[in-house]
Amino acid sequence: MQCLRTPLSDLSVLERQRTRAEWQQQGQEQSDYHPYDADFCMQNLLPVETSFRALHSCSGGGANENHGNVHGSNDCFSNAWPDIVSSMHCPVVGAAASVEETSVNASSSSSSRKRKSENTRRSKENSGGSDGKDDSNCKRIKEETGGGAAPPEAKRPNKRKEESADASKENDKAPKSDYIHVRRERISQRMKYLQDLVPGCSKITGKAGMLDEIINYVQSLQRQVEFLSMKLAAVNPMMDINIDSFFGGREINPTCKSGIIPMIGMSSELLDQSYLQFGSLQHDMFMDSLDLLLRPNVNPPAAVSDTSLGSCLNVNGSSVWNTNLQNVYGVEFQLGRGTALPFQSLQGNLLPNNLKMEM
Amino acid sequence: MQATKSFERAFLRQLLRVFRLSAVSYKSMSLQERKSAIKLSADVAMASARGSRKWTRGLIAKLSEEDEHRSFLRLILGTEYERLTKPCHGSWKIPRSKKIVRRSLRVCSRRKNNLRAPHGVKSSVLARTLVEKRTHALKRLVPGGESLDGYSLLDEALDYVISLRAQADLMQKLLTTFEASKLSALSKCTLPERKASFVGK
Repeated sequence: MQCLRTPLSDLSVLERQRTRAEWQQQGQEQSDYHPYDADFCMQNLLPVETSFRALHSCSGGGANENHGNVHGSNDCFSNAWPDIVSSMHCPVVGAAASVEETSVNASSSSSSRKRKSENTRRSKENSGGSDGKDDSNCKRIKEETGGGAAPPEAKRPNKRKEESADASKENDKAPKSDYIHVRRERISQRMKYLQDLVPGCSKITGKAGMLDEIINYVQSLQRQVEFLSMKLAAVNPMMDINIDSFFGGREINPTCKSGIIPMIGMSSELLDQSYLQFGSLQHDMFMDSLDLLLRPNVNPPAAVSDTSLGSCLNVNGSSVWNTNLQNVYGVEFQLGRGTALPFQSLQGNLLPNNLKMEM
Repeated sequence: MQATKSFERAFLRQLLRVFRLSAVSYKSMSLQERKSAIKLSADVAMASARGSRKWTRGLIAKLSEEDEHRSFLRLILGTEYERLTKPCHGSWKIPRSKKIVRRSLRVCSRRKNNLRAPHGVKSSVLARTLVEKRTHALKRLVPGGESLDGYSLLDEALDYVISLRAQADLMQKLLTTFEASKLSALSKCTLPERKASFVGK
């Protein structure tokens, strides 16, 4: 990993962004587009380098001497996170991060945690190119979150990762009014992002209305997560069996999200023997329980099978499970009166019944 | 805007890891308990996959309020837990910045009022109150949002929304995958085999 230092003081956001664009052209592998926070979110934006330049009358424009600089130097961070940084695809940002870090007063005044988060966040940021605007916003935001409305020249010893050359520019020249304008501009930028994010927000222009929409969206997402966790809980008693069968046999319906499969395959290496054995043990019990549920013809359909299943599910230990099974259904089973229902309808009945019963 | 693949991958990995770790205890839980355990796991996985942000710290702090959850969190997060719950240095700058924010707001509003004097002050006051009310509501929704000022609140809310959406998507996909694999597992086993396995017990 190369490790070049950059002249800190004259780096502007623009330079960094161009550096990044340059670096990206050198072709790194990461295909995702990461304007805002590269490791985290991506957005398909056209290169906005020019508009970015228009936005900021940046001093010291073309100093592209920095674009060699690529890999984030570990030694900039006294609490080196070599594994994180080395796994990063975006060296430039590491450089940028180091720049900012040191420009802030990179003595160990920043906490190790900040540095780590800075590192994590920044170095994971791809030079996703040309979203100069977003990059600058990213930096501006970071600066904002760090300093709030801290006066420009401010003591920045404890300044967080959010330091941007923007701010340092402000330091030198801008009176407070300019700062406020910049701040408001950033707020509106953020609102625009949120507008893109929250569905159905394109018509609403006022800040209050936007906030309202955002609140509704957040609430609905939270409710959705609750609901999904409820559904997962309903599926769950059989879940570890499912996990096992995933990992074991890859017998997965092709309509499933294919992306999960390689991921799950990845984590299957992490399974230890004991778990696998445990899983296969559960597998038998699972099949039995399904057999029970296959017999709605024989017994009063949903109620009995569900109650017994429900009680079974809540019980530890296979012995009790099997006892229940045998007590209740043993006879019919041996009579061989089971008919296999079409699985779709079974599936259709299964979960709602469970839910109905337990709720 | 969308969450990146690496975030989704990290999230899923953490989530599956948590599920595997707690699979044993799931057996003995009621549906409600399981649901809240799953929700907790999903939140922890989301926070740890996201890394260090204001809202992740707030979320973990909120989850750690109960002792039982705390040990669980410690188990899952390992060393990250300590790091994530360390008080944020940024937070003690807030008092300072609030003063300045207030001052700047005063300057702003004075200017606005001067410009808008003929129309009366009421509309702007009303607008500001509405915004304030909603800002407060948003602060309550976003974990860790209480201590954030307007701009960083929006920032964190943006981030939070993205990851919430990814969380919901992932859980949905996980759900369909489980259900589908259950179906396929069912179909793999024929009736005589099942009978045999049962009788064998």
